Amino acid sequence: MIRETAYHEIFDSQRHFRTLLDAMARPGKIDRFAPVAITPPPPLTNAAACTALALLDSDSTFDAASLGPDAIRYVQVNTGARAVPIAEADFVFLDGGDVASAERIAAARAGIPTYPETGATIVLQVSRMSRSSGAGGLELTLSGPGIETTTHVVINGLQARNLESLARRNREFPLGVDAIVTADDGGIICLPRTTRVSWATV
Amino acid sequence: MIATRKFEHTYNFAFIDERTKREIRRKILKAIAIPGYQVPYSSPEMPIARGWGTGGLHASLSIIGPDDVFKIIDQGSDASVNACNLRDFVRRMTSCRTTFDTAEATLIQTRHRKPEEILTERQIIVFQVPQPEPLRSVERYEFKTRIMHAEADYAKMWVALYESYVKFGAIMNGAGYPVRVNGRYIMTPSPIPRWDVPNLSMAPCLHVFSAGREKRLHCVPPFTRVEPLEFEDVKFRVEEFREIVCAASGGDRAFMDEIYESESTRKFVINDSDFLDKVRLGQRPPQRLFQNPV
Amino acid sequence: MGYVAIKGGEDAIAQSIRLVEYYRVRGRTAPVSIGQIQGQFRLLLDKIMGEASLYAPEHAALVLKQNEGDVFESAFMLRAYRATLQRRYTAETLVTREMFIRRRLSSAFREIPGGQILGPTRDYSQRLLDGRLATETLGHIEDFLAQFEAAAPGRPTVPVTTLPKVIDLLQAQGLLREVDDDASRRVVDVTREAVKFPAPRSAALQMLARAETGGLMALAYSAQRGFGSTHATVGELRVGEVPVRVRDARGRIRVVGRIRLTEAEMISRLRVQRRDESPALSLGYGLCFGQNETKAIAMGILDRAMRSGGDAPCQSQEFVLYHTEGIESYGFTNHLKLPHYVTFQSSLSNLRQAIERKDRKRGQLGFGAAVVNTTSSPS
Repeated sequence: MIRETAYHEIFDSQRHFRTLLDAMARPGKIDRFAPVAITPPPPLTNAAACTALALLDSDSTFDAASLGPDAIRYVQVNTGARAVPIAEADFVFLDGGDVASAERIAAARAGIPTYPETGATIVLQVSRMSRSSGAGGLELTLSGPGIETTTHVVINGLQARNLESLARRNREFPLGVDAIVTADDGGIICLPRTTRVSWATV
Repeated sequence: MIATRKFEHTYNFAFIDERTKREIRRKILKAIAIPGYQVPYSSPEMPIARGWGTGGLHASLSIIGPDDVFKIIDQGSDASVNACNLRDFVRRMTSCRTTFDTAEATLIQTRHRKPEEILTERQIIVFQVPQPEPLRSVERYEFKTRIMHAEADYAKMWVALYESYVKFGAIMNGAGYPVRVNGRYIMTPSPIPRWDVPNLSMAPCLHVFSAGREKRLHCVPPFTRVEPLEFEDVKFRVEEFREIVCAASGGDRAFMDEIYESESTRKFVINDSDFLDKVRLGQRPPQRLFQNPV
Repeated sequence: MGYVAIKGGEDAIAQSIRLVEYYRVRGRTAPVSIGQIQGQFRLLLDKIMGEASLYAPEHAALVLKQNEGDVFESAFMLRAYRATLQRRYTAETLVTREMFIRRRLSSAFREIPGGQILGPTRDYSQRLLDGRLATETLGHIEDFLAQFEAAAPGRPTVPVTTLPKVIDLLQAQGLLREVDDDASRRVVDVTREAVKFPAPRSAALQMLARAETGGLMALAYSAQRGFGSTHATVGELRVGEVPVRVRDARGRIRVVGRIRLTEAEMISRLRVQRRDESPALSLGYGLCFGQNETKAIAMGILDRAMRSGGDAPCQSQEFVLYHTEGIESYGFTNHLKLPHYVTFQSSLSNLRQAIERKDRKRGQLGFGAAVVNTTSSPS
């Protein structure tokens, strides 16, 4: 298992956090992590790994069971976070193209009414995202805090079932889960629990 | 004998250790996801006293990177002694460039004001918060206010506002006027004057509110509805500076400081020091002004 | 470019720092050494270390010197320093049964296994000024030490051992019962996560151990004066050194040093909740750095009071824990010195409008007119 050495704990994590901060504050805005030479084991993508390196440490827990033992080991070794069953995890890493992820989203922690921030963060891996093009993908229409009116984004490699599951998990605000959607090409968008999402196939 | 070496110490970039920064960052992301909700965080001790901006520093120093341009104001002014001290601390711990120019800053820390000039999408503003709980005046126990927020049970708050109206003919909350964020949580905007409250709503910038002593932080994301609490027949009003012009610049339509040079001479000066500078130079920046209902 | 006052603010700070440094040394006396402070202000340093929650006597001495003896400021500065230190290990649980005891007492029993040990205390001294100290020299100290050491017995005739605890006696007889079972038993560290209420006992005890002695004493005193139910008895108070152990990278447990602690176990009657319950005693626990008996006892009283349920201030966790936190209350009390003219202007504006409205209303209702009528001549 490779221990990442090119990743700068102070400055890379700060830059990547700022990318996440901007994306979380402006749902649907496609942001991109500044490149860094890391080599996460497939199917864990670069952008999902950057998210893990920026946010996880030994104070946090995660579940990446659906991405296989190499991904789990990678996150453990490089962040010190503890792998736990999905219902206890602060962060859940999932494949957006896998319909089985829908059940996992339903099983993720949604927080409690007095402390809703204990709801999980879902890191959802997809293949591609763009503002318009992308045949065979889903066109998402988003509205809510962080979005002036509505915004659109086209995502490839994302099953509609997973979006449905996400919407169902976020029906009882303030309870819910917040999604960080990461693409193979390094793009990210965030879908916090406040974002209303509708979609159509393109 | 103790070697002086024992007391030598080097500090991490932005002072706070990486593990604590990461924890604060995780909490800020959650605060954005649940607008107006107070997220508990670790709040480590800082070399600044509690109540003097530690919460603001926690947020600023967890956010800041080497390329940021940092501005800090207290009571609207870059010159306030506490702002000077905190600016010096941030500069020493990050080597970041600092500025007085509101437009140039990428990260602004403030106590008790939001700048007059409209903040843009590339700017983040961090408010120092003394008391994050808007319900504290009607319920002193945290475990009870938590439940009230969870159930969106704000009846006590409305009763208090109504009582204020009955006694004084208006809602007497001055600075720190309670607001409802995204139609859900009641939040205190930190003690900014009412003048600034409408500028939190549907603003392009991200607002982070951080209370170090109370160990809670909350956010108003960009383009989020922020509504001051009001009754249908008793509307929210900002401070009025009718027929008042700034003695230093001749400008008006800005929050004013009341200045006494002697017991009998009173004058007004624009409070926001950078805005005042720009008005004096004839470069009045764009502002969003609220009209009081007639 | 820039507001003219800006330079003023920075200059003012620089000058003020120079001035306060001048005040520290203007007496032109020989500098107090760190060693002297450590040697002669033992109890003060114990208090500072406790509130700073950092066991570092030399650093405590340094901050005390730097702050001209301001205890609040020193504890604050040391605690801020603590926050910058890397945590390499987490200590294994301290076992106070292993304490090398310097002083120990129980007020619950006349005699206890191992005996009462008065040890170093001023409890039974007459609090009269000792004028001789005004002219004390190193020579006097040497003389005293020589005499003291000559009079002290040489090697102990019995091997030094640890002593059993007084509460063991009560426990063996089934007289002691826990107030509540803290379901989680999870050890919370309030410096790593914000306290949430109701706080688990581990978090509450940690906060009490870091709290300000005077604040704890005031609330513990209120509990004994009727604002709360407890009248506690000192089951056992012990002062002495306890080994600190950590687990190294290879998993071996090693002693890294010893720290001086004060431990108080306060006994009080458990209030019986149900009719079928038999009465029993329960325990309040206090443990703090150094020799600080006031703090340990107050902590023991409050630990018990907070779990007893009731309306008194000392029985509310939020009230006790938030308001005895010395560093925070010190900071906030002093923050009132910061300018507040924006918030003040905002409330002033409200006040003026409210007065205007009242005046208008009075005018409309004719009060003003009525006054005018009565004072003017009737026509």
